[in-house]
Amino acid sequence: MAEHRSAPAGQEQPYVGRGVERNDIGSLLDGSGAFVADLLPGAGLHAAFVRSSVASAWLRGVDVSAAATMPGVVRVLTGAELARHVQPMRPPANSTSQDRFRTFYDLVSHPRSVPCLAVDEVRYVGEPIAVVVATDRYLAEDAAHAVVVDYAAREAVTDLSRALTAESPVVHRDLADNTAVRLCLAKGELPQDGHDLVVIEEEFRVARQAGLSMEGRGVLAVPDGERITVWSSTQVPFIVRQLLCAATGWDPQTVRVRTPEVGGGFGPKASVYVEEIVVPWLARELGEPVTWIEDRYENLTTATQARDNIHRTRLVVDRDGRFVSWEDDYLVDLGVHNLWMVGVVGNTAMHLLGAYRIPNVRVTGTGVFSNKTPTSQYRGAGRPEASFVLERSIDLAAEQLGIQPAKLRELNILGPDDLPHAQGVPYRDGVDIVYDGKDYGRVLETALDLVPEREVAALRAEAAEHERVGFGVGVYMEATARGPAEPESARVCLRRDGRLAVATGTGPSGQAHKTVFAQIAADTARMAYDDVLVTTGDTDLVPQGLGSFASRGAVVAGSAVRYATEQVVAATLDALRHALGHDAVEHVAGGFSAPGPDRVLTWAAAAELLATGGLAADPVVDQVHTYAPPTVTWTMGVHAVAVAVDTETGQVRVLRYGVAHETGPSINPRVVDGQIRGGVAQGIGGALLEQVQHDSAGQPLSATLADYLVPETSDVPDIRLAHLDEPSRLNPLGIKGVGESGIIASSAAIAGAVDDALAEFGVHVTRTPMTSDYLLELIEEGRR
Amino acid sequence: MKPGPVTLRRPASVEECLDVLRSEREAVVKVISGGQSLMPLLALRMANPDVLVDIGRLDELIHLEVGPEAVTIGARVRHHQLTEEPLRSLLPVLAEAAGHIGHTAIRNRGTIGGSLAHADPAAELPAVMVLLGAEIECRSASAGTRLVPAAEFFTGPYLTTLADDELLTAVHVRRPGSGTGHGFVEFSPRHGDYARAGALATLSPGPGSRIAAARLVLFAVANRPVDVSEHVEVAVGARPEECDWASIAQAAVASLPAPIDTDRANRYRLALAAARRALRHAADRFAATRGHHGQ
Amino acid sequence: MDSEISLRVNGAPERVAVPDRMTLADALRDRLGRTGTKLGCEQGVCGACTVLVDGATARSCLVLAGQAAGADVVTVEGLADASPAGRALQAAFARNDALQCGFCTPGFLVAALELLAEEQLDEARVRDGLSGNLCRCTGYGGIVRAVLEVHERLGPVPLPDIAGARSPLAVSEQASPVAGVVSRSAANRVRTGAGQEQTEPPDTGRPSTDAGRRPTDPGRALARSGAAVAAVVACYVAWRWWRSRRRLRDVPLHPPHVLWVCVPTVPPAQSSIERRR
Repeated sequence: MAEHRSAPAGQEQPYVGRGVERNDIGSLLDGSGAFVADLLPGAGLHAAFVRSSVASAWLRGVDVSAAATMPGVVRVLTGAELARHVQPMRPPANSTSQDRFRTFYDLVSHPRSVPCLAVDEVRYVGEPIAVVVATDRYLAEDAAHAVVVDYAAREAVTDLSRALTAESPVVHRDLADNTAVRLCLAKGELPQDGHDLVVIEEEFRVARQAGLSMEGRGVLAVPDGERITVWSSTQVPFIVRQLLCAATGWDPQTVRVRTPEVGGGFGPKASVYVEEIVVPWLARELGEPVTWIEDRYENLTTATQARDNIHRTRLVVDRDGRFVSWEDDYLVDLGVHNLWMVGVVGNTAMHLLGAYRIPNVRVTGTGVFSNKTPTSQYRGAGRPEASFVLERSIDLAAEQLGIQPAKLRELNILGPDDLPHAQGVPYRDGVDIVYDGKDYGRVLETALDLVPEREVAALRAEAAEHERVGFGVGVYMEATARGPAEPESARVCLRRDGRLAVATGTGPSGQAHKTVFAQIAADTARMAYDDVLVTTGDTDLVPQGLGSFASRGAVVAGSAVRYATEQVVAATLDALRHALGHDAVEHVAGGFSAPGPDRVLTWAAAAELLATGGLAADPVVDQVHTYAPPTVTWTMGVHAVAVAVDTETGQVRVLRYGVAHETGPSINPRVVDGQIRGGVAQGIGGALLEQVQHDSAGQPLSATLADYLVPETSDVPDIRLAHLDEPSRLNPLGIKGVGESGIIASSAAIAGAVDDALAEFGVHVTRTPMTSDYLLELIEEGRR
Repeated sequence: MKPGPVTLRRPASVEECLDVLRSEREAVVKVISGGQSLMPLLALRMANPDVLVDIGRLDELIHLEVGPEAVTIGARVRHHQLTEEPLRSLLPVLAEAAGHIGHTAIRNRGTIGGSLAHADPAAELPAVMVLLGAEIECRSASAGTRLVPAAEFFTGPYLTTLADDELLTAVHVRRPGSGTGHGFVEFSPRHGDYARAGALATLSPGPGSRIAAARLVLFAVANRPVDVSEHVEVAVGARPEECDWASIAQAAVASLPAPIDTDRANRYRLALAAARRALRHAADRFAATRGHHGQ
Repeated sequence: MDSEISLRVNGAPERVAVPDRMTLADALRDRLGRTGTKLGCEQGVCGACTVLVDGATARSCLVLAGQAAGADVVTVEGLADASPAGRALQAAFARNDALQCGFCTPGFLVAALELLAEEQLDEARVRDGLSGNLCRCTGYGGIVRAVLEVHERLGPVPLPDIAGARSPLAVSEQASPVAGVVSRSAANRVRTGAGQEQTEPPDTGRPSTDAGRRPTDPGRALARSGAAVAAVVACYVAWRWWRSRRRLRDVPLHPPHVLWVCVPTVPPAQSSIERRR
């Protein structure tokens, strides 16, 4: 929709599409930028939580008497006491899926409410039981250690493969079993088996991961008369306000949720947590600011985790290599709660449709309760799982057929004749899925060129005696920016000094929203980028919003900024025409043209004129636009990777990595590249290192950063990118989301490369992460 | 995640330190040097001593004495100093191993004495000390100074023969003979992590370019470093290129107690590769050194 | 217990009362208002809290404030004044998209400043040198490029050597009392305190050049098997001690690294070998 793009006028060069410098990083480079822990250092009160040390138990008693009298302690609060004042936390309003989705998918989902502090039972290690408020964190922790909890331990549900059996204990006793969510997606007819068909049946496991951000969560609540300001390291300030008010009964008008600098989000910070209710409640009760900063142990046991799937799949391919049918029956360990109702279970189902012509599909997804930390969205949110199992199955089919894995994909991938491609299946937002792409075959080809065969051959030639080099590809689909029930607002004000103040409700955590929104507003208003000032993550500034997740920020809030700025231009133009008494005033580069030779009113002059001429003093113009896209717009891409595997140690080195994708035009190519490269780094982590582990009693075994391993500098190679633009018709900017592209196909591509490298041992990777232990076992099996 | 209450003592001399250690015998006392292993345990409240005795002011423990046959390294010599000259030339296997400890900032603070007293079975330096047959100097106000052979010093995971009131003050290491080749190989999931398994080897030349002495130590495969030199003795008297290092490594790893679980079994697999490569590196360097001297 | 400490922070003398258990990171942030230093793990893994202590990088979560008494500390706030490369590095980080959320950035900048002092830098060395700092946003490429770019432009930029933190270890050429006679009984007798005199040479396990084998000594082997039992007991005791000591909000914590060493399998030196004989 080129007509929607900012039209360059003469020498005027649009900011959108250029890699302009970020306008919001100076304070991050000199140490002055404030994250939540930096807002009130060494002052106010500090909270420390008493957390469950067992995975499943009745609480016989919580004795806080010793803790209450310890030095510096101001308040000790138990679950029983808090429950008299505060309701359990309910799922957010936008977690309810549309009717068409519910019917089509035959959806079953059991909503759960989350006690703010445990009252009579605990259901995972780390669940908050009580909270201590003291004059500093050291003293608060001392007292938290002195709280005595009397547990009557029960058998815990810790094995996903057994959680749905009749013998398993039940996590929620109001339910018959541990089913949290069940949905089915079916299209076409499954074929009868025949001699001319290749059937690939496999079981895959995707490990539980932490969506680890370098900054943990944190809350600072500052009471101020009737009102309270809640600073939170969250991706979703508006949902925090919604759930906080629902639990406490507070009037949303009295609650302002703000995000300071947020040190990474990646999904876990898109859920609301009980600490975001308990800490504000305490601050209001005590009449003083209260800070709680999640430490790394809490982060690795209580922040939502992700993945943790078992898939049983069946891919049928005919002898010509055409996909006939695809089935997957999978389980997702949701942990103790069902925070998003359909969430990742649905995402996996919809993304299992893949980037191929697959006429017949049958998918059953089941979310399962367990006595573990809740899982929820982490970058990719169900998509990497879908990519992993489909792409792995295709690799195995290629081997059976005796053709190259890339070739088999080429035979089946959606090309220009297939696209746009209607799946005949609704998305979660109730709208039927249409891949709005151009040519996915071209993307595959481009990705293969990023890591060309001759380069892989050279790497093979250079490899050490004990190393084997392999090449793999992974294809992904990424639905971005759901509509129409999830809108964002933007507010754009013309200030008296002629600058634009832009506010959105999204809460960025490194995605450079302030930069890209300024680019959009500057182009729309035809003013200098530096004259646009953007504020994000403040519920007082815009009427409604949700936050940054599901690759939606740029698309949804960006479009709202675009429209609100257009409204400011229109309103300013109207007012100028009125003030100057001429209809001939026009919007031009840098401001407005007025009658008379060469007379141009700059934005500053126009604002001053209007401020003194009867409009509001400051801001002079104030416009709000609320925008929701009609439905998701699809990014598609291919990862190509070369690895070396040490056959004596099972260690994998990623040697070359390329991502080609078909998406919308970039607002800021540098920001887009950064999103993809960062996603790939996390994808490499998920493929090779990252694994949240528990013992059979549900005790976490990976609760420190020395045990939960994420990639270091030396684990991530340079990442090559290729962008193929195909503008979206679903939003005024023509853009598509890219926040998750980098991570989705990483495990699939790396697994393909590992299989290729270890072909002589007959290795078939069926799980993540591909640790050295796992690969050594496969290699030894192959040697036997 | 904050350390529990503790009293910090910062003696100004070794004598004062030993007095503090003697006088605090009723309390749970930990000596803190670089603190790079102890501080995380304090923060996790896995270690809750009553008193921390910081030896950071004891500059008298930062020293290096080089004699014709042996080297004495003060307890507070930092890891990064082990990797630099003059120690890099004097004790190349120590330097190479120390370079694998954690990351730069860790090596800037961590000390050799701290690492040895901490006795992590997956740590590099205890294994080097066993390999080199070092003697560990322990001092106390009550018992004076004693020297403990490294093979006896480490008694288990985080356990040593260091008494409650004793301070590890130095290590004494024999200098490797001219032409000695060494190998150090460890496997860890990422750069700087504790080893999943590791091996160190030295091969010393004798007359006729034959191996006069051969040593092999494995670490991170058991509760403390394991000296498996016994299995390399078959190489003594042979030329390096005549030796079947793979079989020797196999025999060495096979001598370990049967693995108790899959984790241990995997560590043994890695140890096998580490031992093989460490021996080969030592053989290569042995050969290289010999070549260099034109023998 | 509180102590009053003096130190320099970014060139300014400071005097502050801190509890004995307070980390340098918390003292900088909460007592001295330098919140640029971030706490990412408080376990010495992530590197976000990296500062310069006497001219060398240190993780401020792994240093007690009391240990830093008298030290010269540079935080990200003082980066630009601490080295001529400081500002160039910040600009290169911006130019190369070396940050997104910015939480890890202070630690990376400080670590990179130390790296820039090196004569030779290439990509491999930079990746190695920064491997102790974790970033979750960028994939590291921009960070590595930024450091190489500054090094290319300015050449090595040494940090001021404070308190000799970076100078090489002084060597005393005089033989120490035991140097050259290590492991020989005479030396041991000289150095051994009263009541601990050893009468046999300590067994270093190193084959001597003349024999290469130790004589088999049944008595000694027997003593060892007794020691084996003792070691098993000691390990069990240690394990119990660990369990009783870990009181992290009363939550059991099993870093696998700790877990695996808790089951003893190798009794004292060479016993497994001797058993096989």
